Amino acid sequence: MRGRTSIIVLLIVSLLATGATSQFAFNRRQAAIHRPGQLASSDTGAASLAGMNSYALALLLGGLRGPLVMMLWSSSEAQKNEKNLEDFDTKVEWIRLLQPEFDTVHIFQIWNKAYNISVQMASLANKYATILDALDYARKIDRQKPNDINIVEAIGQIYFDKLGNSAEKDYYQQRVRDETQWRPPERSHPGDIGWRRTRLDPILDQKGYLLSELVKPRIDRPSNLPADSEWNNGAEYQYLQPYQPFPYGVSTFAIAYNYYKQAQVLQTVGKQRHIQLSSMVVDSRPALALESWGRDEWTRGRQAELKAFDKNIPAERLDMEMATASLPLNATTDQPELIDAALYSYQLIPRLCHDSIAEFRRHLLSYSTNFWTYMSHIDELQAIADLTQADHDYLAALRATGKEREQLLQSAGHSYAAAVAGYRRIILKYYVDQPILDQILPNDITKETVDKIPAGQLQSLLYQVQRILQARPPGINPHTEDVAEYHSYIDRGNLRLAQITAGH
Amino acid sequence: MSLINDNLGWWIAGAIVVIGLVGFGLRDLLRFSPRRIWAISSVCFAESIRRRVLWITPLAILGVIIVAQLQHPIDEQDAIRQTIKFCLFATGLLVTIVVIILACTNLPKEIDTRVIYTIVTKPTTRLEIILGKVIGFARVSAAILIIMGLFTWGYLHLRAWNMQRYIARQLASGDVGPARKPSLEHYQQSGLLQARQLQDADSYEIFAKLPQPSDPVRWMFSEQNFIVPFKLGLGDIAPPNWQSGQPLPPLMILAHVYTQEAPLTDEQQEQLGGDLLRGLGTDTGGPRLSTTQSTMTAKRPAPKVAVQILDRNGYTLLTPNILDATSLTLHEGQPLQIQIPAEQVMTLINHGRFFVSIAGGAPGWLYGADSNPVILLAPTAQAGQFNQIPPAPDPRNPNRPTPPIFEGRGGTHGQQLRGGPAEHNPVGVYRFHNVPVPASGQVPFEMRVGIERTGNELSTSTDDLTRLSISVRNLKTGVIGQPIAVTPESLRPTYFSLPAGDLGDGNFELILRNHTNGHWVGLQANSVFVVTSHQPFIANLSKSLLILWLMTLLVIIIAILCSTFLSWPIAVVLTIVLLLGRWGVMQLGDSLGSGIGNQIATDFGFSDPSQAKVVSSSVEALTKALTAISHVLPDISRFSATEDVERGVMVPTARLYESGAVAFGFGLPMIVLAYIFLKNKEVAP
Repeated sequence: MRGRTSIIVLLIVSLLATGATSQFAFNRRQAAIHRPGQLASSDTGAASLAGMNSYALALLLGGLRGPLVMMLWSSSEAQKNEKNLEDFDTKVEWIRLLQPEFDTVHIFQIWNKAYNISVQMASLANKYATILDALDYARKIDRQKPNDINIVEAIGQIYFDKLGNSAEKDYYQQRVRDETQWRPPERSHPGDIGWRRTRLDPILDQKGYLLSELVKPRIDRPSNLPADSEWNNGAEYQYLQPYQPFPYGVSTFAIAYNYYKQAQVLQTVGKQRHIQLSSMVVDSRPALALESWGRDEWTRGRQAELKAFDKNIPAERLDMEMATASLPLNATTDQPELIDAALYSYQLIPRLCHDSIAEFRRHLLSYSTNFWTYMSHIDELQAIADLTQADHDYLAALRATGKEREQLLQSAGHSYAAAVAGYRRIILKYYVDQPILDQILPNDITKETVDKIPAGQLQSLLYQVQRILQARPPGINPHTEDVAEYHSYIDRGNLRLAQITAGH
Repeated sequence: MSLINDNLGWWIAGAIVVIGLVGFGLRDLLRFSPRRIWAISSVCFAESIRRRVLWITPLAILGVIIVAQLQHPIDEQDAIRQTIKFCLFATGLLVTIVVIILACTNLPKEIDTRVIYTIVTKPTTRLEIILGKVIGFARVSAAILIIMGLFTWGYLHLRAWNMQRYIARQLASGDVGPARKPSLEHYQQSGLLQARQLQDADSYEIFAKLPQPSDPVRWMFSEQNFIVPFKLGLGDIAPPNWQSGQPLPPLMILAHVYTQEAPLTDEQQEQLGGDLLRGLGTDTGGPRLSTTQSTMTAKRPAPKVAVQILDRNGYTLLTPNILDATSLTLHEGQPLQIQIPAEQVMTLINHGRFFVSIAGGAPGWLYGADSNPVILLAPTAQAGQFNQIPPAPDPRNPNRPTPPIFEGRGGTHGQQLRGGPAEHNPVGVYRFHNVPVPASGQVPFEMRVGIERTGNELSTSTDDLTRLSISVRNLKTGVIGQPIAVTPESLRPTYFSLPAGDLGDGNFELILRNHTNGHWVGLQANSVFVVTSHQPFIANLSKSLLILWLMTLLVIIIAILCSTFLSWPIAVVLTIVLLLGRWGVMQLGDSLGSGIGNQIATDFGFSDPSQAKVVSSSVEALTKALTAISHVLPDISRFSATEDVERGVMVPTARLYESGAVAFGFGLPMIVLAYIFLKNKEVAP
């Protein structure tokens, strides 16, 4: 009896000691990971609850967890290769529950579902639903491990690369725009077994503002953080807040930007490192996402403008440039809501371009590897901002009268001129070979200082370039396509300038 | 002699039973008392219940409920399917583990604790002890199966009821996409717990255009082929006085292929007018029955075909290169003559059944075949004279040769049905015979096809569904019913129904067309089923549980046999080895074939030839022994209890007989062996 009592006491003491040492180790680990300024989740209660399934399952299985995971991995991958998806998602779910702590597993499975599995579907709706399933998987992990750079970046990648840039992007982008808008709550919910997400949850209210629970800060800003330092406040859509409202839904690139920015801040402020991507890649993504968002709005603005004036909408955005370039100043439309939509896009684009430029400049301060590449992005973004600002003012002037119209046309004229000059400088700077530049540029100007050339001289310089190229033996010019694209923007700007001049 | 060879296992089993019972246990057999057996079994059963084995069932039930919450199904039907799988898997695992432990430990423990004295000192025979224990544990397993079966039935109904409400809610909201709606409607109408009897098509073919009953010739596009089956015997070709080892004469394939100008797509027209024509020469004005409407503006290349020989599984046996028939130009009125080299003739004879395959070559043509397009010619003793060898007889009408079978281009998911306008794209035909058709109403069908896409379609903001039209042709009247539209998803079941009136007397053709450009639907023989009848789900579940019970009966017998001469831990291991031995060898499959010895010797890097030979021959001998032993072990794959139930398909009664045959065929001799071992074992002074 005495022996039994001492064994029970020993067991209880051992349990307490185990708890104390594991807590000590956990605290040390947290301290090592969460360096000063590191994001510390205040939402740990929710995170712990989200992981309960995993802990319970691991506890139940004990030593069988390893063999079971091995079996599930080989079986699920074999099924994928055989294109037999019965039970596949259940197996992936079990792998998630059994290996909750491995980010490489989650990154792989998110990518696996979004890419390898979605392509096995025939209909676009089912492909899209499979990508949403990948997002759901990522969000489950995010709830379990909030503020994990690997998962946040993976969510951003799905929005940016898969939904924004895949072969089926037109379908996906439209669905994201539509589904992010407000709609009445649905009766089915993720708790229903057999439930499978077929569309995104709305993130906007009826006025186009982000739902309050999605922008509510959840993490207190550490007191030791410098005042000018960026900071993830734990709100799901923190970085979209400044761009509200979204009357036409949210772009997939906007959502990508939100997550990319979170990941970048987790890296720069939180000192986390992505396990697969380099720091430079993570740091550059917010700028690229903002740029893509701007281009997406550009396309939408052009489409709305074309529709408003009963023009056919070409498949490629570049072909949309000239269709309304000669729009006279007395043009009218019976679809003013489309003009509103175009104005919304044209108003947002310059802001996105300037924010993207700021992001590129911030990135280049730390990483200069892609200096020239990103400088070309910056120059182009500035030109896009000028062109679309001009388009906004021109379109607004069609509906304005009196002095307001005069001011808008004057502003449009200045912006078109700046855009035309900007595109001409881009061509000279990035698409003319050095030997030709050596022949045509004034002595005190180099490729790097092309910006100093007065706008009035740019056209003649480009003319000289053209003459030199024409005099050369025929061959392949790698820049032909890019230069043609910029010329179409220049032509649009010039045609609009001609309209403004004629109107005066 | 073949009666013995083919049923060697049964003969051995019978011999063990007869010799064991008559030779060793005739006296015990004459004293055989079912009452005593039942009494012993009741003791076993009561003792097991006292050991609280049934208490483990709530644990298993809890496990099933937990695991069922962690599933991530594709849809509601898949959720039910997965739940059935979990329930039956847990039931099978539980009952097997329980009976192995009970049966393996029972006898050794009774001997150790001398409880057996109380039995063997009574007027019971060892045979009655063995049978009593088998029946006792079989009763325990039946009790567990009944509990788990009732739970499975109740739990599935609860889930199905819940999901039906969810489906109704989704449909009522009107917010279900076109790709998903037909499936949900089907689930709502048919329920989620089903047991259907499915009948698949007798044959399926893909044609360039739908053949009419009066058409003498049927057509295919250039990317297709048709095959003709042959069965060649030595007597068909060997000259008189031929002796084994002597060379056989070469054979000749004689084929008649018709051609017809194919209607051209814009793309084909561009190709034919451009690159293709420049490379391929001029029109030969090949044989044609008629000229269809053509938009062709440029000359077509000469029609060409390729010929090869396939084995019974459709794999290449003799390539076009071997037959020198990679690109044969067709000339009007002239049949193709292809020689099969003499050294390859024995290969064909050894393979028994094989197919001559004729594939279209040059595009821009339809290639046709009548009912008997290919024959083989074998030279006779007289120079210049040949014996004609017709195709293998048609299984449906042995008095005529099998007509050619038209196949589509092979893709990832089967023979491809290309999408687009009907005049440019093939049509799939599934032929059904003797289907029991109701007098009125709708007849349900189930289809599962794979879909491939080019991937370079223009991106659109609307969904691009794969649109199939399906109609039915009554083979008796030739009348084709109104087509219905179906939008399948790749490798997911698609449900549709057709009016019973269109199906006539149950002999009909299902005609499939794919209307979506850039989509290819992969068809296989088992892609389409007709649902012929339904059974209550509980009946199907009962059959499945009965199969599980038969399996546990076998497990109990083997466990008791092992426990008669081994201690219980070793008996447990040996029982598992005996049960899984055959399955394990089957899993190793082809890797145990000849050559494994050389492979292992190479892998281990033996450079000394004598060492390598010793290793190689040893491994070969071991694998042969392993394979031979596995053949006398029970085949537990015959106890397939879950697959049909989870798919909502009726478990065939033949499956029950099959399971019973393995359980009793293997079990009875094992009981006799156990009896002999126990009879010769000293269990009491």
